[in-house]
Amino acid sequence: MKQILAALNENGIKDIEEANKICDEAGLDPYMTCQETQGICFENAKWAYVVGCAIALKKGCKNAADAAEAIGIGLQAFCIPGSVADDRKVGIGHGNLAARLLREETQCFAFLAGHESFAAAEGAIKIAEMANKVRKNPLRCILNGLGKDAAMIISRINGFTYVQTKFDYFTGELNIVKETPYSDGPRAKVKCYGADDVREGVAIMWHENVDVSITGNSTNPTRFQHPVAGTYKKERVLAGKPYFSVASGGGTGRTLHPDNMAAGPASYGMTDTLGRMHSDAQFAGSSSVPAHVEMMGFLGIGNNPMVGCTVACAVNVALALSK
Amino acid sequence: MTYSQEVEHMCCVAKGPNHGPAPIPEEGKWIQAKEIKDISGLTHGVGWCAPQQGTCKLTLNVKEGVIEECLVETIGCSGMTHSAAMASEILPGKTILEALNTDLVCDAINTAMRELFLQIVYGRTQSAFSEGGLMIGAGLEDLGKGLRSQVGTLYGTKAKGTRYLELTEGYITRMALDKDNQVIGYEYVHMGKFMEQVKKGVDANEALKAVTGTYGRFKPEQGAVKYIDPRKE
Repeated sequence: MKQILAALNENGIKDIEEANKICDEAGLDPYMTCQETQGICFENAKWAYVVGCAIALKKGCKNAADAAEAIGIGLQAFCIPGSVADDRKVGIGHGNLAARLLREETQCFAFLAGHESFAAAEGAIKIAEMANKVRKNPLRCILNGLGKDAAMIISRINGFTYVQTKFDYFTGELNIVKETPYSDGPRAKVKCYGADDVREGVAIMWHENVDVSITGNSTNPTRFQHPVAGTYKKERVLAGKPYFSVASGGGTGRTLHPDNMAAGPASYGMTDTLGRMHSDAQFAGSSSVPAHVEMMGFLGIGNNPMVGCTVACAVNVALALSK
Repeated sequence: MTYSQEVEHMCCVAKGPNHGPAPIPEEGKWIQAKEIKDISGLTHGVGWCAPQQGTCKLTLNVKEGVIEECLVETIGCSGMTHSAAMASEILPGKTILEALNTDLVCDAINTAMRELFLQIVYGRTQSAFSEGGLMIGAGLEDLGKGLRSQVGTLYGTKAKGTRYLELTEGYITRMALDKDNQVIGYEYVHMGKFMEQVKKGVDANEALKAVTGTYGRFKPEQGAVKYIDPRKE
């Protein structure tokens, strides 16, 4: 595609082969990093990370946050002109989000999910393994989703720490019942919460003092993740505290009709609207399904795993250049 | 067209509002859809049969009212797979209006067609905001590598617990259990990629090794204590 070559040339790289060589020489394999992050990702995603990392290496980004932004330029080049992804500049957006996670100001990142798939975990694993290699103050990474059983199973399969909570609906207090770590490596640093409803979800956000989050979009969006993000946003603004909210999916008319009646005018695109109401940045497609992200004119990899992959690649670039 | 005597004798009351329908988002444009040819987009619909023992996911890529591409995926009964075979030939080339009154020989596929029609004429398509829509072939891409449907087959009993048989990654060959006998990971064979290798002439055993992967915590050092064949043990 023309725009990929243009982005490479602008950064003094001839073509994708040369980009691959630059990564090789630095001892990096972004193709593999992407594959490891989400096994079912498409080929174009893997090459986008090769292009992104080559640009970051060529720019000499010794700081991981700067590397993340440079990788975003590479990702952006893979957006099809005229697509939703291009319009929303999701490549640049992914670079900026990863950079935010690598900067010291950010203390806690939440995957605000419906706990419907393992995709949030795929993103979280890479962040847990990589982000703190370059940060002074460790970044805390949590999963906050609807359903306590699902939270426990996701923790067990991925080696996270399951935090069982009990919300007191009279006092609004969140009580921690117990914490069960399912491994003893860096993955156990990822805390996974299951909420019974929106109020408990918001209380979990406050308990962890989340300052950046990404919401999933297709399972439970109207009953959990968007209401939690929106409510928490309002409360953070009132409290004068920062909170950067990212909506990961959207960009389609399909996702939801607004009122379950599926009739009459303006009966399209509800999840997109929900994202618009609270988000500081909006991606497109799906938090988990590669084909749906690709359909929006971007790469075949879920937006949640992509967050982890961008962080991992950026850290690798920074470490390679600081050797 | 004829008018009845009563109407003939009435005086005229003028019609004021003439805004047309509210526009719907289609392939990056806002369209006031008045006729079937005003409908374009790629989207999905799901349907079921009267006894609810089978279900169909239908994906159509429609350009100016005509079905240019269809993907028919079914789960449930053997007959519906054959109906799907026929539908994949019958649907392309028809307008979406025509497709409603076409017998697709299976309740589930007919229902999916109805649901998809509603989705698309109300502007709820995947390609609502994608300029120019999606190319013909986008429906096929939905299948991912090796072109196989994303199917989940999972089984559980109170007495013996859960069995993972098929997940998005592929055919599950082994499940890993931890010290408490709970599932912590699984091993799979990606059947689409496996067949691609075999067709290329790679030895079947070698191909099997190459396309076998694991998910979650599968190794002993990750806490796996026991491995079971979900179909036998």
